[in-house]
Amino acid sequence: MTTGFTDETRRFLRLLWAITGRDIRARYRRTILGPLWAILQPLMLMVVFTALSGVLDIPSDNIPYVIFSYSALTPWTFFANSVSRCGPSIISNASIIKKTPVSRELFPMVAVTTAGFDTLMAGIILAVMMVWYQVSVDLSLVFWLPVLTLLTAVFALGVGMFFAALGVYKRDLLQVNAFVLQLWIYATPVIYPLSEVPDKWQALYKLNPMVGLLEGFRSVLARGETPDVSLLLWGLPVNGLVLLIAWPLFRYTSRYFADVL
Amino acid sequence: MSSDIVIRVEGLYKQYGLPLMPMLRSAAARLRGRPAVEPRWSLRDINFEVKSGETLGIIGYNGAGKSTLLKVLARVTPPTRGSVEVRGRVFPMIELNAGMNMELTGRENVLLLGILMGMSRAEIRAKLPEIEAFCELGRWFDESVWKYSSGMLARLGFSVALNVDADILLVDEVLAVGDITFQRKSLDRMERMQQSGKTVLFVSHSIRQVERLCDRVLLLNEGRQVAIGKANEIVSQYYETANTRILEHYAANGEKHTIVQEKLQNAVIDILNVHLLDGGENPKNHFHTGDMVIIEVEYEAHQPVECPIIGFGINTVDALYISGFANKGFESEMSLHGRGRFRCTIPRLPLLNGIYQLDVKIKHTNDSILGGGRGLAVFSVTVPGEVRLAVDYGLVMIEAEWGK
Repeated sequence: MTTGFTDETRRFLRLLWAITGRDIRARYRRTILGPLWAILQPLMLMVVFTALSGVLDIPSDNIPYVIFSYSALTPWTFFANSVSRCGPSIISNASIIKKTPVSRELFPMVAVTTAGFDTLMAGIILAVMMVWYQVSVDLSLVFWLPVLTLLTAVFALGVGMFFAALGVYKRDLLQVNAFVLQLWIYATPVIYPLSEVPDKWQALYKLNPMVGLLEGFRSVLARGETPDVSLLLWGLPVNGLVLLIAWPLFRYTSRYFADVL
Repeated sequence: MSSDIVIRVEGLYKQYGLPLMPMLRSAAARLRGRPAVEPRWSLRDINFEVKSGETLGIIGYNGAGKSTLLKVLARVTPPTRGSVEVRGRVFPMIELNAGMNMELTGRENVLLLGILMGMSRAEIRAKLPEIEAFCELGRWFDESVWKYSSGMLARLGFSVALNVDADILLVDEVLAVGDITFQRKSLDRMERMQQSGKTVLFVSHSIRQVERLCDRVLLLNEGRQVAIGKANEIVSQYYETANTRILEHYAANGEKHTIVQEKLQNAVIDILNVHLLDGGENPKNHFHTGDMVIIEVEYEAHQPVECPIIGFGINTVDALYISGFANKGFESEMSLHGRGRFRCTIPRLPLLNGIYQLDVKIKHTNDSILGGGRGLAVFSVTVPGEVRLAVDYGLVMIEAEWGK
């Protein structure tokens, strides 16, 4: 039985890799600049933020505003892209779902891995900027960066699977999904620091797992510190709860995806 | 399961969509004191077994549940009730282009399809030369598939499918792809797979292919299992029901309507009606192979016509022209004027199982067309038991005398 499990896992990972590769390769196939686009997009964003910080005076905890915002915006974009691609990935892979019994979890996961690829590219720009602004980093980054990324991916998968599980049946949910993400960014310290949030709201505010995660990324990438673990723990119950609800829900409803696609 | 049975379906019911919704609906109906809403079954009470190495055909009209059944067997969608056991590696050839990406090349897509079908990279690489040769795409194999014609796409998908190792193949209407040589090649490959002991479930509207390829046939109608049994018996049964259906369809449109629609416009001779009679002069639409058939044509000639050439043509409903015959040499015995009727007798009908339609054409000796129409009569033929012993499938019975 154990060999059956590992075979299944190996097959799943092979599919995940193949479909991710397909999506990324296909995206740049008919472009002139090709994969360069993956770098260009975050680069443009960086230029915009640099220009913005020259004009506006937004509090940024005494860190250069570009680093301050970019260090959180990159993981936020990873989260938002992963979530918003989950539902559509089910629909755009309808032909596979209707014809083969591959695990339906594959498609939300592909949404996360392709978003991960974009994040990797944005990360390169961020790294260059960190060198430029001479940001000092702590060596614990080697440990914390993967942990934070993994936690973000898990949370994104949970939220994405929740919307996909129901959104495939009633497509309104996919519209709501986009709307929720637009509001969510304001409930997360991306463009402003956590310190700007009034004290009486802090407890509620910190329940949002993205608060702890983004502050964590910011600590590691912009401040050269280790993340505030208590802040991470604040968000963990919601993170776990979402996954605990979303995964079984997705497992159940995804069995019938082929019926409605 | 006994050792040689690879598929067992027992009491299978299937209703599409989340089972929660209909449950809620019927609960709501009960609360309001209304009778529970009868669920819409796509499949109901299906029971059958397939032995290893057997080829089972699944036939029925559109919406009979054929594809649904394959989907349930492919584990793409769960049964609502009943049990489905499948033993061995199943390969669903339901839609071959599933997962194909238009931006990628043929070669990249073959790799992807192979992985989707459960092969490892090494396995696909080993098969790649064979697949490349089979699909006959030449230099196109390394071009993006958005440049392909639909036939080329289908060939690519089919080539991968035919080169996958599986114990059970679920085939849904895929042999109708590609040009004629590719179809032939695919059919041959299917037959070779059958001979090598693979179990095949084959859904098709091409009853002739089913008859040719399958050992047994399952006939479905509106989600129910009508019959299962030996291929030629079930196919005969299908033709009988198909016959009533098609005739009903013709009747609904009105025979006259059919004639007006298909009839030659502004003709010198209008065909008013075509009747088919059996040897006892009774009008009939269903015959057995070997029966006597009398074709009686009612006409109205707007000008008198002497020595016309009258021809009949017989087509299958799927538009295969089988044969035409005319009164050549006997034209002088015929003259048409005013309203009247003429007859032609086929002493022994040589047609086998099928539904056929009759075309009529009346020409002048100088080849100008005077009148006629297509599909003026529709009839079905079934093969009686005693003939079935001598011929098994095909379109016509060739009468032969045997000697030493």
